[in-house]
Amino acid sequence: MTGLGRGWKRLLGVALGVMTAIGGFVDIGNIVTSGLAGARFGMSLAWALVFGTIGMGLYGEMAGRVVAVTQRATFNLVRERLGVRAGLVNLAAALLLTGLTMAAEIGGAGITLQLGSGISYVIWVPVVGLATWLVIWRVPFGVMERVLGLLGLALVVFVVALFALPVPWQELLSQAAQPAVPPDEGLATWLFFAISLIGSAVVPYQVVFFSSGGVEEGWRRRDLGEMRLNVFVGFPLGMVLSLAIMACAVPVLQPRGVDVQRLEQVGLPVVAALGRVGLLVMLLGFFAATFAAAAECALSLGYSAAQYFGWTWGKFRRPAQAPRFHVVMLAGIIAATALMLTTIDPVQLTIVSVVLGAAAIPLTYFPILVVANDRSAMGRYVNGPWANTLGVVFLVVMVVVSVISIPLLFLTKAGQ
Amino acid sequence: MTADGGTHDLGVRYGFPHRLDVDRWLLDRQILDVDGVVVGTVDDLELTDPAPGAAPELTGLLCGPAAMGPRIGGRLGVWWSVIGLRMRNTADTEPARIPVAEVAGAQPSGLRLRMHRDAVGTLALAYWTREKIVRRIPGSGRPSRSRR
Repeated sequence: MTGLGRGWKRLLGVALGVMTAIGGFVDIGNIVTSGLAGARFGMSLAWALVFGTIGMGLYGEMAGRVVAVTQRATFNLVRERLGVRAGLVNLAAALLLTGLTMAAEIGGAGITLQLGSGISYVIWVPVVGLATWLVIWRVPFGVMERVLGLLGLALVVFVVALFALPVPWQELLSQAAQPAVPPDEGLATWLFFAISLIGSAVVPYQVVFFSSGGVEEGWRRRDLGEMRLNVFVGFPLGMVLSLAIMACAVPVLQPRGVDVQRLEQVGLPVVAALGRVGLLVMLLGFFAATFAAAAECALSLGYSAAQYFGWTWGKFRRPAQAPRFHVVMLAGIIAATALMLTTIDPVQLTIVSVVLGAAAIPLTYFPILVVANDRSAMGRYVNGPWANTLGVVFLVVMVVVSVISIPLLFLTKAGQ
Repeated sequence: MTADGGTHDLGVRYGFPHRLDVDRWLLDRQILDVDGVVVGTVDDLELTDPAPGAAPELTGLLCGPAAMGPRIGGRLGVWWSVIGLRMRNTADTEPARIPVAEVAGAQPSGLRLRMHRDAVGTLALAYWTREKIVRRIPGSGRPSRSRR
């Protein structure tokens, strides 16, 4: 192949990676919290999404850099830096939260299938659970990530809908630029939804999945540029999709006082703007985003436990070579499917899990910050002053968030 | 015996950095066998007093629930040890022990051993889950790889 041809092929590979990162960024947490916040608070909480995405980018880059230099993924660092006891508390919290999130994702995929087929989601939930396990058992990591990430890009339909709707751009921009609590809402509720939006951007499983995925794909120092492009271009563009979901709700749902309690209500603006075709594309996007996230959650369960205990892990291995890793994932999928079959409300479950996820962030991010600063492990790839300043500021804010999130959860009755 | 910190002068003999910070270079690090396969984590250390009054010497790495339980401490730690021991197929109540001479050196991803994973004795649960659960599901022996 000529040099030029190889250059194009490489560019295509990089573009594919970024597009995958965009689609992979959005999950049930983003869909529900953005739709809900847009319908109730307009764009006055857009800052929370931006803040969460900056944090996710910072720590995603650090975790990815640690993987490329030392081949150590997140829970390996957690165990090493926090020790047995604090590490175990951290692991228990991560398994519980990721399990809850996986249940919500499976529920979201089930509801999407119900919207497309008319058959109740309760029938679809075990089907989605089984499909999630099959993906984990059989589908190669790269294929899983690319196919589902690219299908998730169907959510761009929200951006298209935004341009077809009578959007009061001036008003939206001023709401986003000068955030204030809407007159008919309380400060506690407003802050609660701010935390839910931050949590939707930084959910702990995503950094576990991202770093372990780096080990799966064999990242080395030469891949750092591509990794950074995925983080600093892919994640913010994923955030743009979330902002579009939020903005779409403002002209359609807010004036009618729609209180979003079901997944399909988030999609009403798309149907209003683009009709049946829009609906179909949106359902495809919802399904790809939630189904991909269910598989990522399942993998994160296995990654976390295996890295903490020192088990063999990885989708690139035969299941028989990483048996405990696969047993944990199988057990997690069964438990999450069973939880969803109790007909617990997936939207409420999503809100609770993103808020608890935001509360747990310091536990997962602190060891990453410590190791990214360890010159003996990182050499010249150690954290620079920018990464450290921003990383520390973000972590301090997240500690405050962590302290106030649980009281707010009860005070606002999960935002009702 | 438990060591939760401190610096030991064992580096030269075993190819570790000169003065060895136990907390940073040993405890809770991953252990890789001679082929680079993960066999466990350094759950505790075995220190031996060579003579009365002499400084203790690091003689082994300890792995598995029986080593981890005491470090967790409390009732949960006891449960951890007891359940962990029940899941092994030997009557032995001691944790798996890797003599320090079997450690070839430290690499970024963990400690590398000279031994083969089967000789370490930490993989009983892995083999049990493989034979009783994973192998019974079709497709367990086929890789789904796409690694670059």
